[in-house]
Order: sequence, then structure tokens, then C-alpha cells
Amino acid sequence: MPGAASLLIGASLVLLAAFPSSTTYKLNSYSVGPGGTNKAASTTYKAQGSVGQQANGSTSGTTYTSKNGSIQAEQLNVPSAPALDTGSSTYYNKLGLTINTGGNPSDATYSVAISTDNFATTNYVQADGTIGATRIYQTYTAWGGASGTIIIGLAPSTTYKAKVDAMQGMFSNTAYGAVATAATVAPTISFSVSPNSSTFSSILPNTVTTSSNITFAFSTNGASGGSIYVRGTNAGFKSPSQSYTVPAVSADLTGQTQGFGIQATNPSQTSGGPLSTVSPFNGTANTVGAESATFARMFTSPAAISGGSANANVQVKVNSTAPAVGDYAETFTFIASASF
Amino acid sequence: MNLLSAVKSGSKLLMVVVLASVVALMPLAYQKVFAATLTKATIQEIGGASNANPMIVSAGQAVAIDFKTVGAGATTASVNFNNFTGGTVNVTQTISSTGCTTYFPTATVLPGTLTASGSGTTVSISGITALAATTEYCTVLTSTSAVTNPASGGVYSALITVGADSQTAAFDVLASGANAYSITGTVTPAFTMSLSGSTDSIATLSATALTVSSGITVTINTNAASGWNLYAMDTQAGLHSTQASHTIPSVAAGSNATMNGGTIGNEAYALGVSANNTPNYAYGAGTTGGALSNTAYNRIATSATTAANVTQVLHELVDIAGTTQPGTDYTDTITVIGSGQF
Repeated sequence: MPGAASLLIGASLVLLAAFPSSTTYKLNSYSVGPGGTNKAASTTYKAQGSVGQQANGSTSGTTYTSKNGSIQAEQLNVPSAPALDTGSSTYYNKLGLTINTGGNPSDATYSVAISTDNFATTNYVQADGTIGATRIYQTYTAWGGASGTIIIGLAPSTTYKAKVDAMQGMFSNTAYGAVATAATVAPTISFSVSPNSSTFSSILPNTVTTSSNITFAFSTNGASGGSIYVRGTNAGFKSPSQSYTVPAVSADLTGQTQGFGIQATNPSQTSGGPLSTVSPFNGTANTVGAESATFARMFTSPAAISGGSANANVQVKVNSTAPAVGDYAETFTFIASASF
Repeated sequence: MNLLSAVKSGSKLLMVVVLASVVALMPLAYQKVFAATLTKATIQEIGGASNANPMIVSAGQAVAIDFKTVGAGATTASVNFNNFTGGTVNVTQTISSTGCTTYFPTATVLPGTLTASGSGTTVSISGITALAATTEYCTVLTSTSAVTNPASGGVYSALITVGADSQTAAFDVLASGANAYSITGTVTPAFTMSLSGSTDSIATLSATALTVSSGITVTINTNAASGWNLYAMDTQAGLHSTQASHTIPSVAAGSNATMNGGTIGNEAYALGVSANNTPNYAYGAGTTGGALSNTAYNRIATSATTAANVTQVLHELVDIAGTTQPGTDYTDTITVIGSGQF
């Protein structure tokens, strides 16, 4: 057709053999392209528009490209719900996150939306795991791959919802996939001492006598663990009737004429920790630590600990002139705290 | 569906196709600033006066606090005991960072001219010198009733806020006596007595001078809280010679006799104890002594306290007359016993 030309705006052009016309119009060239729908969706995909074919060249914008030949518009699979991990219900300020790729190619990138109010307010997981207002896309590998990553800076006792969308290169991002829900727990600490009293067997002069075990239980989900402390009332083993005190010492009692103290032993845990003893209470055999009126650390854990357990014993050695009476006593007080 | 747009140009045909969706990016002009999370947030109850009843229900508590900053510059802090049902926060607060590193050895004391006050469930701290980033700090609400625990034990929590950053810390409140351990014991009674020998020697007796034996040392060890006693009894009630069939008699009982005065030239026999003696058996540096009996033990030494290697020497003192029958076998056997007073 002399003078005929096609002006396209981001479209493909198909020419047909026949030339429909009316009294005022004549189609010099036309085609019927592929059918389609302006919207098709399922739980995992959505087609955003209908497309035709373009004979030559390409058309693109900042976020799309339409190429030659057959249908080029490509839609990534909508990622399914991510996996949120509560650390077996121990996380109070974080959640584990693992992306589900939905079978997308390895260069697909993903963003994670997160909310505490069913997305009335939406924030996004940042590359460093914190929560922010910026939508960050990064690859599955960057999100930790199969091991996932940790979302940090969360509030305790709060339910979070998260969803993921995908994007690849210059193509449009998908819709968000299904929502995953998980809740942080409250910060916890548990501490106990047993028994609360004991009596030495007969205390012979010039002989080290050891008490039965004291048992401690300690657990916390505090990320920085916690500690157990001890103090005493009498700074030794005191007889009020005689106004006589076997002094508390930090020493090996076998080398002392007399002395009194406490020894920390057998720290263990079901998981986390580890729980460990602290000087001067970490001696062995007949080496004890002196208690005083000031609290001193006896056990410590650097991290969250579950099923923490430990023992202590009290030892005494009296000389030949420690009055032979039956009212010797000391009261220990133990406290514990956890670090979140 | 293909959208066709026909232009009434006579010879030109335009085809326009609607494009697929365009992704819209969230504008970056506005970004919400999020507060950060403190780490090492710790609440440690340390009890009331003299640290009495720490962590115990219904008891007033001073509170040691620890936290690690995220950003720099904070000059205020607060502790909101917002999960402390049944507990109370004192309006009047005192604060000091002295000694807090006892509980948190890796922390720096919270700097500044600190003041604190309570309102509702919150203790507010001000006067803090601008804090450094990523630094652990500690301080103590020193009032012995900075908070008062609920009557029910359990896990409670408080929100520590430093500047714009915060973290919830949990703490445990225990039933009365739950964290105390009392240990008692009895020291077994002990008493030992030993003699330095079984034979005491004495020089040849003289009618013109007092003769004193070398002495036997008695050593006492005892933890008897009320002390100890020594007793003695002899077999002859004097110094006896089988050869001479004669006994030099003991001095009169019931007193401490002077042996180097008027008794010189007169027969007399006595026991003197060098230390811890009872009055009748004072040794008098070798001049006095008391009578032994062959029918009853007499208490010769005593103490009201425990003894660790306490020693006393027993001496026999003898005066004879010019008419005392000669003999080489003048002898007495003295039995010494001792006991502790428990």
C-alpha cells in the first residue's frame, strides 16, 4: 500500500489478508491476535493484562519491556507463604524467616512485607533483618536460602504476619503470596533453689566436713543469658551463743586451720547456655569460695538456656578450740536475673 | 482481545494495544524512622534493707538495671513496670550507679548527675550524660522500696527505654524463703590430756632446805565451751618409804601451804601447779603447794575457756626434819584426770 504506515505504541502489529471497510474507513491491514483476558488469577499467579504481537523492534518503559515475536510478557510465580520460625516458642524479639521461591528462577528477587495489624500498616524486612519502611528485594540466597534468616527487633508477645512477592530483572513484580503468621513469646526466666535448709553431719575438729548438695534450676530465653548470685548473712559459720564465727574463706580448707565456704559444681543444661561456674566458687575438692554480705556471681550463662541445672555444697573445717556447741549456722541467699 | 483503533485518515491505520501493568515503586521521599531494640536489658531485684528478701513476694526491692545501647546520645531513660500486676512503683526514688558492676561486671556505670522519680508504673531517670553507642551501662534504683513486689510469685516484666530505644526484660518473683538456704551444724565435743612423762624425779631431800621435783607437764586440748578441769589423787597421802616404814605427810588440806618458811626442818609434802591452778595448788614459783588425798580427787587446775595445747607443770614440794628416817625409796603415785565442761 503506497503511503501506508503503522504507528505503534508499545504493541505488536499483525497484518491480515482481507481489508474490511465502510463508507468512510478502510482497514488497509489488520490482524486478529491471540485471545486472552485482562485479568486471570489463581492463588499462585496472576496475569495482569492482555498482549498482542509486535512485528519488529521493541517497546519498553522503566518497568516493562515488550519484545518481538510471540507473546513475551512473562510472569514469575507468586511465592507461597514464607516459613516463620518461633525457635520452638522461645523467640521473644525475633522470628526466623525462610522464603518459598515458588519455583522461580535463581535470579528472582523477593521482598517481605510484615505487619502486626493484618497489613493495615505494612513494613518490610530489611537486608539486615530489621524492620523498615523501605521495600527491599534480594535473592533467595541473600535471604539465607534454605536456612533462612532472622527478623530482629520485634516486640514480645506479638503476632506477626508476613508475605512475600517476587520480581525478576526488568519484569513486574508478582502479587504477594499467602500470608504466614507467627507470634513472638514473652521474655521468660525461671529460677529455683532446693533444699532451703540442711544440717552438717558431726563436725570434727581439724577435719573438713561437706554438706549435701544444693540444687539450682535456671532457664531463660534472654538472648544474653543470665547469672546466679550468692550472699551470706554471717560471713562464715557462726555460733551466736559463743559469739564465735568460723570465718568464710576462699581457699583450700585442707591447708587451713579452719574455714568455711561454698563451692559451685555440676553446671549443665538441656540446651543453650552453657552454664558455668564463676570464681571464687569454681574450686574443686576442698577449695571453696567465701560468701559475704555483698552478692557475688556464682554461675553464669552467656546465652539463652533451657533446663539449666547446677549444684553447690558448703564445707567447713573447725580447729580444736572452736566451741563444741550446736548452734552454728549460716544463711545463704541466692538471686538470679536474665539479660534480654 | 485485540484492541483496534481506526483512524479516519483514509490511508493510515493505527493500532494501539494496552500494555501490561506497570510496577509502581513506593516513594522514597518519606521513610519512617524505627526505634531500635536494646540488648542486655536486665532487671535484678536485690532486696530491701541489707538486701533482705530479694526477689520475694510482697517485699520492697532495690533494683539493679543493665542495658546495652544501640545508638548514641541518649540522656534519659525509664523503666516501665507495665507487666507488674499487684506490684507498685514508689513515687520517691533514689539512684546511684555505685556498685552496679558487682552484678554486671562488663558494664560501665551510668554516667551523669542522675535523678529518678516514679509515676504510675514508670521510673524515669534523667541527668544522664549522653551515652555512647553499643555500650553496656548499669545503675541501681537504691531505695529499698523502689518497687514493692506483688503478693503472688511469677514472672513479671518491665520495659526499659533509653532514648528512643527499648527492650522488655523479665524478672522472677519468688515465694517467701524460696531462694534462701540455711545450714546448721554441731561441732563435736573433744578433750585430750597428755603427760610429758610417767616419772617425776626429785633430788635428795634435806632438812635445811625445800626440795622441789623436776615436774611433769600436762597438756590440754579441748573445745569445751565452758572450759576444763584437772584433778589429782595420790596413793600415800604423802611421800612414803617402805624401807623406813615412814611417810612424810601431806600438808593440811584445804589451803595453800608455804613450803620454804616455817616448814623448813619440819616434814611436809605438797603438790604445786605452775599455771591454771586452783588456789590451794598455787606453785608460788616453787614455794607453795597443796595437799593431795588418797581417798578423793582434788581439783588442782581449771579454765573457763577452750584450750589449744595449754600446759601446766605439776611439781612435788618436800620438806623433811632432821629426824626423818633415812630411805632411798620415798615414793608417791599421783593419778591425774581431766575433763571438759561442754
